[in-house]
Amino acid sequence: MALYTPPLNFVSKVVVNSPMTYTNFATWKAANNNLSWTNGLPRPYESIEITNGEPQDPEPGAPNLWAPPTRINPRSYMHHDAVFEMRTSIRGESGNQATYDDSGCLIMDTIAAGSADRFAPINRLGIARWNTLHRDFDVYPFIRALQLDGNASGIVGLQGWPDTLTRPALFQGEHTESYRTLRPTIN
Amino acid sequence: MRTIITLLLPFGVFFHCYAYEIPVGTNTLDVVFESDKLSSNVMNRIVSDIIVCRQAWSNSTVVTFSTGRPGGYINDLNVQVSPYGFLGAKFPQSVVTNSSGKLALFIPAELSTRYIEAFSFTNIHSNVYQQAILFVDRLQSPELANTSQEKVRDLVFSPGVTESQYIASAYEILTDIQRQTYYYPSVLGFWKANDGEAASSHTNLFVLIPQSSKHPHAPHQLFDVMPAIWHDSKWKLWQPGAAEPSGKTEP
Repeated sequence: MALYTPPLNFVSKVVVNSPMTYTNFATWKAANNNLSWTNGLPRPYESIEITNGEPQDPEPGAPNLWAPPTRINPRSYMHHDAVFEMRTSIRGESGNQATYDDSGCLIMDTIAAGSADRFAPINRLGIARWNTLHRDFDVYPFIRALQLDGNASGIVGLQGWPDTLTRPALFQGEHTESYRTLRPTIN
Repeated sequence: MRTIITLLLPFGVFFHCYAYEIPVGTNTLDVVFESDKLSSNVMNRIVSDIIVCRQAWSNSTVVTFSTGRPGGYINDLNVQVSPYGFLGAKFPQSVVTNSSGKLALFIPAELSTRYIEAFSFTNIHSNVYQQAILFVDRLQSPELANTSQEKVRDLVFSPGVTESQYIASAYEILTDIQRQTYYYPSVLGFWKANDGEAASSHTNLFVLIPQSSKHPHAPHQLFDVMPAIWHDSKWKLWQPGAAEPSGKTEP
C-alpha cells in the first residue's frame, strides 16, 4: 500500500485550548463588528527621527494628536520587531497606536504593526487609565487570538495593563487576522 | 452553569469544623481548617476573602466536584483569576467531608499561616487597614460621582502629576474609576515597597484592591487588582507615573 506523502510545504499543527478561550474570542468578535469608532483616528507619522538611539518627538507642539514616542520593552513580544511606539491621546474613548523599527520607519503590516484601540490605555496625563477596559477589550482578545492560532503565549502578570507576553508569537492565523480586522492598523 | 456531583469520600478524615459557609450558587459549602489553633479573627478573614472571590465570579463560574481525586476538588475555570493569584497564594480547592458529614472547603495550614503572618502587619497598622475598608466603600458609593474636581487628588495618585493636571483630568479620572467594581482588600494584600519609584518622599505603603470591570460586554467577569498607595494619610488608587507626563489635552 502506498503511503501518502504530503507536499513539502504542507504544515499541520494541532492546537489545544480551553473552550473558554474560543467562546470568549467569539463573543468578543460578535460584540465588536462595528468599526465606526475608528473614523477620524489620527494617521501616524511615516517615520520618526532617531538620535543617539533615542526617538525624537515628531510633534512637540500643536496639534498634539500624538504623545511622544517611547521605547518598547524588547521582551514584551506584543509587537515583535517593533522598537518604538507612539500613541494618540484619547479620542472619545479610543486611540491609535503606531510602531516603528529600530531605524524609525513605520511598521505597517503583520502583528508587529500598531493597532487601533477601542479603549485607549493612557489618559491625557500620559499614564495608564484607572480601569481595565483596554486590557479586557483590546489586549486579552489579541492574546486569545494568538493562542487559538497555536501560539503558547501567555501574559506576564494580570495586573492593570499587561504589555508583556511569556514568549514570542510564531503563528499568525485566522484568529489573529480576525483580530486585525476588528482592531485594524490605521496608517 | 454549576454542576455539583455529590460524592462519597473514600476515607473518613475529619477536620476542625466551625460555623462557616461559602455560597456556591444555590448551595453552600461548609469550611474546615486544617489548623486547630486559629483565632476567630483569622478564620473570619479567610472566609471573607473566599466569599469575595465567589461574589466576583458570580454566575459565570462553573464549579464541579470531581470524583477523580480523593476527597473531591473544585474545578473552577476562574480559580486562577482571583486576588489570590496576585497575593502569591493559592485559592483553596480541596473539598472534604466534615464531622457533620457535609461537603466542606478545606483550608490548609499553609494558607492560614500566611494570614497569621499578615495579621501581624495589619494589627500594627490597624488604622490604615480600617481606612482601606472605608476607601473601598467610598469607591463603591454613588456619591463618588459628586466628587469635586479639587477632591479627585484625594482618590488617585501618580508621581509627577500636578494639582492642576488632576483638576483638568478630573472628569476622565472619575469616569474611569466608576467603571470598575471594587471589593474589600485581603489582609494578604498589604505591603511596603523597599525601593523603586514608590519609595519616594511620599510613602511606600501599598494595598492591592480587588476589582472587576462593570462593562456589560466584558466577555466574562475577570478579577484584577489595582494598587492603592497610602499618601497624605489617605488611601489613593495608584498608577506609576509616565516618565514625562505629556500634559497633552484631548484634541
